[in-house]
Formats: sequence, C-alpha cells, structure tokens
Amino acid sequence: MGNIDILLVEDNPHDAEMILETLSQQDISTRVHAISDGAEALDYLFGPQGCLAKAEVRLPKLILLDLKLPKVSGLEILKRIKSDERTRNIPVVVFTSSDEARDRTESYRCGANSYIVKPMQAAAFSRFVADVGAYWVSMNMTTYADA
Amino acid sequence: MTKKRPAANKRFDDLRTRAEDALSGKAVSSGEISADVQKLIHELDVHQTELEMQNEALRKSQMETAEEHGKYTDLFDFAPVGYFTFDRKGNIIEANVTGASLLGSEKRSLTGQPFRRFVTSGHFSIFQSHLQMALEIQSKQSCKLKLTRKDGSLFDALIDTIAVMDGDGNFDHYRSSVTDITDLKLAEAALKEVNETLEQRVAERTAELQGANEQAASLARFPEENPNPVMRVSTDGSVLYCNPASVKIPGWACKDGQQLPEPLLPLFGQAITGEQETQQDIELGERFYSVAVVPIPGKGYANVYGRDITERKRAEEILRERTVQLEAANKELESFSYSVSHDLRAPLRAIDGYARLILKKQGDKFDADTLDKFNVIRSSTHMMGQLIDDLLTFSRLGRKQMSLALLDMDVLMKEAWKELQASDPERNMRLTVNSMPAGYGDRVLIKQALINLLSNAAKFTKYKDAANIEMGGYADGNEHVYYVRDNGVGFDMAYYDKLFGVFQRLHSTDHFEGTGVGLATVQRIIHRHGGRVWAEGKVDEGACFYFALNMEE
Repeated sequence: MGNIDILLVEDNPHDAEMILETLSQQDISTRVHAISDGAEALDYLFGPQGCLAKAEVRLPKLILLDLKLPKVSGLEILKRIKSDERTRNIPVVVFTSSDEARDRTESYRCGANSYIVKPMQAAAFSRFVADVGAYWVSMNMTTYADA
Repeated sequence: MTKKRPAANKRFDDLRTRAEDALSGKAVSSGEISADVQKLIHELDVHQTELEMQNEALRKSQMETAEEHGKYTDLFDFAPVGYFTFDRKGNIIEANVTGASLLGSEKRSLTGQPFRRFVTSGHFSIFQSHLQMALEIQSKQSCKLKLTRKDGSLFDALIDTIAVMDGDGNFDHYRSSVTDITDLKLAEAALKEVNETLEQRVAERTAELQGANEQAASLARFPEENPNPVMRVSTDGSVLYCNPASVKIPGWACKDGQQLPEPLLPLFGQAITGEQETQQDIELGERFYSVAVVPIPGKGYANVYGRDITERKRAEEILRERTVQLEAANKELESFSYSVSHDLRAPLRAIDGYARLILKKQGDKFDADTLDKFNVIRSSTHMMGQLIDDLLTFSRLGRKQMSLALLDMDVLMKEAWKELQASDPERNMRLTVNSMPAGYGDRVLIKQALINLLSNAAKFTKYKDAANIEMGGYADGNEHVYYVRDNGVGFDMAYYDKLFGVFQRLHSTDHFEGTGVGLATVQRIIHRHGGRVWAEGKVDEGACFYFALNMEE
C-alpha cells in the first residue's frame, strides 16, 4: 500500500462525498483516503497507539482537515501532527464551515498551512476543492516527495 | 525822725542823754567836758560807722525783700489760672495777669469793676448764687459759666471760689480761680461723640451677635432635624452625642455615654488609627448604610454620619444578577451563533450539492418543469445561506471590539463605493461626493455602515435609467452628520418604524433582493458608537439616510 495524496478528515458524509466526487472529476487522478473521526486519523498516521516505526509513518501530500470532529477535534489533530517531527512537514489545510475569527487564529497558531471556509453554494464548493487539490497535490512540492 | 530805731543800745542812750544835757547848759565841768567830749566824739564816730554799716545791711535786706516780693507777684500774675478777689458784691478787688488776659482786659482796668460785666446775661444768677454758697457753706464752690471777653467773644470757664474771713470771723473777701475750659468742653463734646458712636457700635454688634446666636441655634438644630444618623463619638468608642435619628432607627439605637453599635466599631477603629475620614457600606438592622467616620484632629472625638442606602444596594444587587444573567445569555448566544455557522450551513451545502450533482448527471433527462423546480431548490438554499451569513454578521457586530480613531470620511466613502462597484461592475451609477467633516469611530464598522447604505441606495435605484447617489456631511454642534441620498423608489414614511428592523422589508423580494439586515446593521453600528440614524423618504421620489456621530471625545 503506497502513500496516498490526500488524507481527508471529514465527519459530514455529504461534504465528504462532494469532495471525493469533485476530486475524482480531475484530469490527474488523486489518491484520497477519507476518515470520519479524529482518533482514526491519528491511528492512520501513526498506527494504533503510535506503533508504526519511523519509516512506516504515512506521509500524504496534504491533509484536508475539518475542525468539528467526533472524539478528537480538528485542532487537537493539528497540534499532534505539527508537534511530531515525523509529520511536522505535512501541509495541513483546514476546511471548515466556521468563519469565526477565534477558529482561524487558533488554527494558524497550531501550524495550519491554510484556512478555507467551505462555500455555501455547491458550484463554489466544488471549485474550491478542485483548486486546493490541484495546488497542494500537483503544484506544491513537499520536503519528502522524492524520498 | 519819728521812726523807731531798731534795738538802740544802752550806751547810745547814755550818750544821747549826756549830749542833750550838755546842750541844755547843765553843770558840766570844762575839764571834764573836754575829756568827755573827746571820748564822745570818738564814740560818735564809732557809732556813725556802725550806723552806716547797719544802714547798708538794711538797704540790702530791703532790696532782697523787694526782689522776693517781685518773685511772688510774678508767680501770682503768671500762674496758668486766673486769680480774682471779689468783695461781697462781686466787684473785682484784684486780678492776676492771666485772669485779666482771660477776660481780654488790662489788669489795672479791672480793679473795682463788677465781675458780672464779664458774665453772659443768662449766667448772672448762677454767679450770684455761687458766691452766696461759698459764703454760706464756708467751703470751696465750683461752677461753670459762660464768660464774655472785652471784645465780646465767649468762652467757657470753671470758677472755684472760697470766702475768706478776717480774724474776727467776719467776711473779708472772695478768692476765686478762673479756668478757660473751652478746650475741655470741646474735648468733652468729642468724647461724647466718640461715646455715642461707641454705643452705637456696641448696639449694632450686640444685634449682630444676637443674629449670629439665633443662626447658631438654628444650625445647632440641624443635626436634630437630620433624618440620617449623626453622632459624635469619643475616640474610645463611647457616644458623646447622638441625634434623634440615630436613637430611633433600629440597628443604630444609640444612647449618649454608650458604646457605638458593634458593626460600626471596625470602621471607627480604622478611621481613628488612620486619622483620616473613612467611609464604608455597613449592614445594620437589615438595612444598609453608607457610614462615614470623620476624626476631628486634637479634639479626642470623631463625627459619625450614616446614610440609608438600602434601596441603592438592592438595585445594585438586582443589577448584578441581571448582569450575570445577561452574560450567561450572551454566552449562550455566542455558542448558538457558533453552532449556526457550523450546523445550519452543512445541510444547506448538502441540498445544493446534491441538487447540483443530480442536475449534472441526469439533468438532460428532466423536463423543463422539473429543471425549474430544481433551480428553485438551489436558489432557495442560496437565499437561506445568505440569511444565515447576514444574521451572523449582524450578531457579531454586537461583540466586535471597537478601536476608535479619527476617520477621513471622504476616503472611507470612496473605498466603500469601490467595493460596491466591484460587486456589480455593469451598473450605471453616478456618485456625487460633497465635502464631509472627519468622523470618530471604528474604521471597519463605519465602512461597513457606508457600504450598506450605498448598496441600499444602489439597490433601490436599479430600475432608474440614471441612478444618482449623493453623499455628504456637516457638523452640527457636538455631532457630525453624514447622509446618503438617492433618486430611487423611496419609501412611505408610514412604514418608517420598519425601516431599521432586522428582517424587515418594505419591498417584495421579487423586485428587490435582500434579507432585511442591511439597514438594521447600519443602525446597530451607529448605536454602538453612541450616534443616531434616521431617514427621510417619499414613494418614487428617493430616500435620504442620515447618521450622526458624537464628536465630544
């Protein structure tokens, strides 16, 4: 099982479906792994109880992270990712309904690379998702992409 | 020579007898005679010498007597008081120089003249009886008379008189002293005047003091009449004075000589120790009092003043409860709007997302009616989304921290206009900007208000061929007033009340889009600045919206 392009952490199945639908329509195929709760996301990255060896830690090109998640909140996941040197360099884009100033400041403080508010209208929503995928997966180079 | 010789000695008498005998031819022998004569001549010579010496001494003694007499005459004449002697009828026997000059006359001319000539007519009888009394009572009499000088001028005189009797006890003469007391009289008059003035002053001062006393008495009643407790308390805490209120009011119930009520002691001690006025709110007998203790330096006591503040305390308590409730409500509202922003938007996204997906994948199989209904679903969700966004923006206005600054309203208006035009570049609108004074407020909020007012104006002029929007401002006392005027559809003043209400609309959404939050937002922003908003309008004749910012700060 090779590395994926995007780890999608999204508890709303409809939003997740729209995102996957949009990404599947892209010319370049994008490998996406969708997870619906925070604890599961951490398990995915570090293995259950963080059992994965350093070499085996999964490093997606992007983590698309919702803030409001069951069990472990998006901000909590963000903190864990950014405080672990194995995952610190993975770009994290916060993709959320909230445009509250306090969520934005907190996210950036915890090391988010970008913060995007989910547009209400479906057309804009799709366009945003497509643009984010194209930029972070195709255009942006991570430190570990060629490793 | 009939003059008696002083102390002629016996030898001289013998000599004389013999000399007389010889001259009368009595029997004296010549031999004897010649010897006797020789002896006699010698004695005579001696006597002559003695006589001459005696004469000399006599002359000297006479001269000394005259000199002495002159001295006493001078003393008499030039004494500072006039001296007169009168006979029984009051005629002048003798006067000294001072007395004569008092009367403006020569000393010599006065002798024999009746003194009454110099007494003013009204005082004759006084002078007469004065002399009479001196004689009858045989002691010094005094009286005051008005005398006339020779030249007719008057002066006041004091006359002291005694009757002088001869050796047999019969009247001999009156001896009087006369003093000019004009100066004394004047001094007396002046003194009298001074006295009168003094008395007047004393009377005035007494009246003043009485007034002051009355005032003091009235002031003294002040604490008695005070409905609040007023006390004077010795530094050891015992009551020296307490007014009726501090006796009557339960919880105070003070009495002279007793200790201060227990709850007041800590504050009292603090004031006494700190030697300064100390104030505290204290509960006494189920009521609250603002109690001030004012130590009086060096007197060994302090004044204690109480004021019932129970009502205020209760109001404060209610206010505190309200504030807590309000804060809780605010918190609730905040978490409500937070969950609105997350949870209400998600279903809308799903509706619009799936509608779009279905249309995309199977739209070609739908008939026109179905397609139309799908579009209604989608535009309704857009509308709902807009409502949620506006409502959130509106509720955030109340929470946003304001940072106040002086604002260049010209620049702000132009920025707002640019943003508005960018959202609809196709519209043909003409903007006139008149001069505006600077404003004072939160830049972001005021700009939002301007954008809302301008977009309002743009919206309601959209059916006009030429939309004219005008903005300007002016200073009006403490306020700076700004306005945005348009030539759009205007409004009916009858519905003015609904103009600034949230979700209130005066036009149907068919004609004018919008959620009814724009003007409510403007009002909320301006109210948060302590300003006012108002509007004027007429159907089909345009509208003008005003807002005023307070410039006092």
